[in-house]
Amino acid sequence: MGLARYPRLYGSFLRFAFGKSLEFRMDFFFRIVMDLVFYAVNIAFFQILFLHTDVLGGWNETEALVFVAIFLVVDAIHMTMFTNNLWALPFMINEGSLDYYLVRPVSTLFFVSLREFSVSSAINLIFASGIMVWALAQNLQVLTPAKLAMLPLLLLNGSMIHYLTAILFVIPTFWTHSGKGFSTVYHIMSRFTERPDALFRGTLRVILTTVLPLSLIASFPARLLLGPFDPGLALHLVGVSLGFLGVILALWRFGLRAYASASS
Amino acid sequence: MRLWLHVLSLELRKIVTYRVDFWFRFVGTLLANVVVAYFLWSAVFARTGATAIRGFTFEALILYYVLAPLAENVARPVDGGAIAEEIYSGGLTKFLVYPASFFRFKYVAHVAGAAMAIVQLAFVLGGYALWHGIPAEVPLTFWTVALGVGFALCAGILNYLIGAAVDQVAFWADRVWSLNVMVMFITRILGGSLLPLAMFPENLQTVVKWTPFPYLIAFPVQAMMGQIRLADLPQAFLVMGLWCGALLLANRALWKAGSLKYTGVGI
Repeated sequence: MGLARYPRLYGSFLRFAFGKSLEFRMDFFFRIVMDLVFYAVNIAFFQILFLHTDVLGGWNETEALVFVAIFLVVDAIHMTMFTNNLWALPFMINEGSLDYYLVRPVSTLFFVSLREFSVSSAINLIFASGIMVWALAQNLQVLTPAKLAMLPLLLLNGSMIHYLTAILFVIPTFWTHSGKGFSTVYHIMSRFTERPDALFRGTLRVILTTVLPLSLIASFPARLLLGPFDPGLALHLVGVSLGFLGVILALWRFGLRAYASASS
Repeated sequence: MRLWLHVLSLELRKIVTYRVDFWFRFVGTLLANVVVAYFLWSAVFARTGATAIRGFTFEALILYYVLAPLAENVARPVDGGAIAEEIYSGGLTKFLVYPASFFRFKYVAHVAGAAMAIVQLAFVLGGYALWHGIPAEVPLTFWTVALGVGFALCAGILNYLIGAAVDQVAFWADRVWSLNVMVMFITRILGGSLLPLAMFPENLQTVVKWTPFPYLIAFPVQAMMGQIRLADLPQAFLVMGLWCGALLLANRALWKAGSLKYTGVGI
């Protein structure tokens, strides 16, 4: 009964978001075009790069396109569901408006992470999905029904890690009271998400696949999809994802304890 | 002139007030840029076995990626949106009654940012030269760096005019944040921040050289690295001049029409 509230609540968020999107029509249109430019830039980057090599990070051009497409879909999911909310979170913490969400009979983290749904980004999710279908169509020889069945789970997991990484850099606001948390660091670090994991070596690779698992957002899903099934890789993905989720939930609770309410 | 020097001094103080954030963002962006480029191009060079790709050795490419964000900071020292913010907040009203141009005020903020970026460039390039050395095949000298900085400052005018035109859409649109981000994405790829323009297909390079974007990043970096020939200059100045002229006209038209729509109360 308790959990049944959440889909209903999310339905309300969606209704509110669709109404709001019609208020800012030009912004709605600009955001769609902005994301399309972002997609084009990412695809063009790899196409230009592949003029100078036939393999990058173990992938040929069509395989790298699958990686890019997975990244774009995960990014579109993130932009649709989480980005606006995570931008607002430091202000809530600093101004004390988080109080309103703490007293509600639902999970505070659920509420503050999902209350704003971006309709324009949801439209871009359709475009990003189209790019993914195009990319997958060029790699039919390695795709099996089992791998395709696994794809939605990989995308959901990638989106979860993307969200967890982003909120990791916002949570310090509870202590630092800075205007944007460490979101600048997050944006800088996200450059590593946009490149195949096999490029990175040594300590950096260990960090990107465990401590700050940015490579698990798009690279690992692409590797699981394109290569022969690797149980070790799948276990690594599940284990690190669950561990990272646990760490972030613990940090969130720890942060809430430091929250000084409206006076902070 | 005294007024503008005073405004410049205030803007410089504003920048150093948040110096931790300023330096953190700068160092972080630079490091991430260079580290990602290092691993990416290591893989490409290892795979192809080439000693140079489109005239760039591996060492020269890494130097390019060190210089690209530095030159970009000189040409694009502030994020877009400052003019739009004044329109949205109603803050533009106070500038309308000042006995000085609103656009000059904003341009001085841009110059202050560029001045700080030149200091950063000197520190980083000096440090890089001492720590790692400049590759022998790159004819970088004090004078080529000075020339590159000069180009980046000229490109700064172009960038400011692009930003002002985009921001003035705020007279009509409810938000222009996404337009600024869009320009940033385009600048990153066509400006040569993600990849040197020499890596582009030849026909695309020819087209891109007629847009304003390469002159914001790639051209100043190439000048610093001593890769600009005298023969390249006429087209560069022609294209920059044409774009500056067109953008000036566009900005004037936007201001003329937009200021009539401005209510002064903000949203």
